[in-house]
Amino acid sequence: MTVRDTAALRAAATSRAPAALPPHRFLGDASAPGLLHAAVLRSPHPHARILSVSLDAARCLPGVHAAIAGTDLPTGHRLGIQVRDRPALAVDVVRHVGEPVAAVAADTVQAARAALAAIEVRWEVLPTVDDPEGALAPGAPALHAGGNLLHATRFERGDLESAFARCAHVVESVVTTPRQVHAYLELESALAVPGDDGTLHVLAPCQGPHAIRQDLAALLGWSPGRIEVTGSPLGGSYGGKDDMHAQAIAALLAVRCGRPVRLAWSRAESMAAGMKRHPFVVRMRTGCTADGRLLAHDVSLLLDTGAYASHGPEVLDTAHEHAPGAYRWEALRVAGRLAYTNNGIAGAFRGFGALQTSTALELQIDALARRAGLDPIAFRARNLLGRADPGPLGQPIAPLPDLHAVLAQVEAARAESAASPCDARPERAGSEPGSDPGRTSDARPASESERWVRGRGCALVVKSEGFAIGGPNAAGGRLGRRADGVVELRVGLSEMGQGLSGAARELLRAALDAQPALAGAPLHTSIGLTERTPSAGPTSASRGTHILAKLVAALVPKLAVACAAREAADVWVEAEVAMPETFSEHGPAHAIFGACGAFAEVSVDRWTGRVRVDRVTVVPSVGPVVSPAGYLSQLEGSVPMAAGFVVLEDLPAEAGRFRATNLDGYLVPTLADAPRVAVRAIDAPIADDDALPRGIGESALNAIAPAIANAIADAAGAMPSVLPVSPAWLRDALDATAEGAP
Amino acid sequence: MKRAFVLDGRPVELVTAPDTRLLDALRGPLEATGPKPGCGIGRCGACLVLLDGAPVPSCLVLAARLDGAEVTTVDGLGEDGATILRALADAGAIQCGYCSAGMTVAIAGALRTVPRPGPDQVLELLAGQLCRCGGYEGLRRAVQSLFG
Repeated sequence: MTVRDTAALRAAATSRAPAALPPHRFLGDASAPGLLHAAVLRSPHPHARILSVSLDAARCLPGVHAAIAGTDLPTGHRLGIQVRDRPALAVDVVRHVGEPVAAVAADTVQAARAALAAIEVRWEVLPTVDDPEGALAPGAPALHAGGNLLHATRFERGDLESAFARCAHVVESVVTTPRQVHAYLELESALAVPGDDGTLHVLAPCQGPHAIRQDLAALLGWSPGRIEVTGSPLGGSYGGKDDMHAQAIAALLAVRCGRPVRLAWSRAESMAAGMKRHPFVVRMRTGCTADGRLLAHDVSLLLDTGAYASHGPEVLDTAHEHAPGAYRWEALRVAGRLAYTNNGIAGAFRGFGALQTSTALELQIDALARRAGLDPIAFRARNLLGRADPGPLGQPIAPLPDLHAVLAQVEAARAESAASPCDARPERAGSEPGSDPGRTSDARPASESERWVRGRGCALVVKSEGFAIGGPNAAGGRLGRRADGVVELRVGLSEMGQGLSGAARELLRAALDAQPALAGAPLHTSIGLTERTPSAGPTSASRGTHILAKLVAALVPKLAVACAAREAADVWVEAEVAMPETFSEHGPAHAIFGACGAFAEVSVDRWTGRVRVDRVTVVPSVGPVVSPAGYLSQLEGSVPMAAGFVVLEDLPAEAGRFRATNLDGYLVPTLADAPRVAVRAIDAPIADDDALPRGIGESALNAIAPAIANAIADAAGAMPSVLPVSPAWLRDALDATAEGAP
Repeated sequence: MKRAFVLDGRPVELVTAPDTRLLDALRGPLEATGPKPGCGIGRCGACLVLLDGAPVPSCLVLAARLDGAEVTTVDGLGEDGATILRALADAGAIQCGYCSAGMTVAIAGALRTVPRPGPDQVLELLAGQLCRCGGYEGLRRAVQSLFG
């Protein structure tokens, strides 16, 4: 087993190909001759009936080429992932502020915006459903024909009450999690360019170009072959650009006008109408024996999915499946509900529901350790899943990474922190770490020299990989030796900064060089597009690297054979591979899991209640490292995003209206907030496993967030129940600790 | 209304309304797409340019004040720009790369406005440049390699 730190990963990265420069241009920079500009009229109401939309005045304005509303859509057409319920333009009813109602295409952006003002909409305002509990209460207005309960889950194993009866310690908690905003710097936009031959080319950042093409074909009533989608590179996505955003309206207007149309969202439009992370209410009752053996775990989840389904049902399924965490239980019950509300739309976001339950669970595990007077790492070690244990729903899974090895590295990080605490800022010089590893906070009065209270915490998670049963789990790719001798990979997977293209180059280089006929051939990768490229399914759920590794392994020998048979240039081969699937009688379940541990050090300011996350040590175990540069980037990048989730970020809704419209009201971590990051990566094949590398982009985030939350709990002497942790709560908690101190 | 100024070292003329944002003028008629739109309120730094040598978000500058000015985007930084971008890439500071143009301009601005800046000074000047991929550790390494 090799444990790699940052320096080792950096050395491995630089010993390979030179690091790629950033994409010079993004899809929003593209233009086309005769370009028209689109603008969208959006709902000012969280919930209202549309009595009429009058487009006539807008259509007559100079420079306006088209104006459309929901009545221009094919009857019954809806967007969505598995549940399709979202019209590209509102039909009859709007269900969230910012929902598109009408759209225009004009010569200039100004003319398009002016035309919006000439559109007349008559509304009948309907009652707002602004909280998921209320949405499910009897008598709540139904937002969709099937009612407000979009999805529910239930899993039960063992005799829960008898197990609780034998527990010496039981902790009950409620944790609510924030509506985190993706806040990718690149806003949603689409450029739709009609061809002379009845085709359409759509350039728009997305995580699944083939799925977008399929949806656009249905929307236009075309065969998919007439549409090409270019979806990479993306200027950040984190799940948020998996759903259709600006593409549908741009395509409708371009086809109607017979001219290229660009629709570029503003930040305010993105904040109102873009996808969000699902806010959760997680209730847990958890018990263990006096000597720290976990027995019983009772979990209920309530998720606010907003106005439309998007990935909501899959997010709940994933959250549900991750509620048992990395531990063995004698008895377990998990029940989840997903409610429609008028609070925007929640969809896919890195971590995908597992972040929320993992954070609540790991807080709960620490609270239980405190209650039982046990060391949190030793407590976890006592209860870990074994390498051959079944999955959380009892399903067969690929062998797990060695969780004890992960915990050993978390323990090492703790020892290192005790020996040399991270003092990133000079004003912290007055605070000192405690000697008790289980608890390090001080309860002394807040004199200036003791302003900073340090806290340390750990976490351990397992995280599923790829989609559950039902997929799409198959993925295709195409490899060719072109006339110019360049070997080109064409794959529909996306590059959004996670390093897919770098991983593709590294995997290809190694595989090509192992084939005498192809060794040393120059490489080219064409990524995230439909043109002459088979579907690989979406690049999400941490499946990209895994699929890529399999595709390269399948394609390269095939190309070598084809090239040997044909001296001629321009030889192409295709292959299709699949993620492993499993089966479960208890609903969607995953076949592969990776693991990650984390150790966090924080300083809490007694005066202001603010948290500084000083340093996070990340301990991933996801099989062999494919691309050291991309791997390290994912680990380091997860830290600020996780810290944001725990201490900074939330977009609250009040009566169905979000309280921020831009990055002044919704803050994301800056360089000044960014914690130091240390890495102890377990870089080794997983024993007895042929499932190839797991992804790293989500498992790290899911471990880092609860480690930070536990460090805050350590400093505060109390478990936070509302994330992000508020300064007011922290000050109160610290005061209470100080008063209770001897 | 006509404005004459210097963009990335070449003289340009721009006919536009005085309240046109520099960002829109650059990305529209002037076809300079180096500066990226991000927030429109000067909070993210993606559209940063040098205006007479000083870093400013181009979303907050109006065309009306451009007459006689010198505007430098990431594409007009010459060797400085190439060196900074290479340092960012080598340090692992680049993920999606959308913030890189603004980051590069910000670092070049530090070079031009602060005499012999040290790494801490530069890092302070970069606090307004958001990187949502969270490449801040890489950014620290890049600044160390350039200014350490």
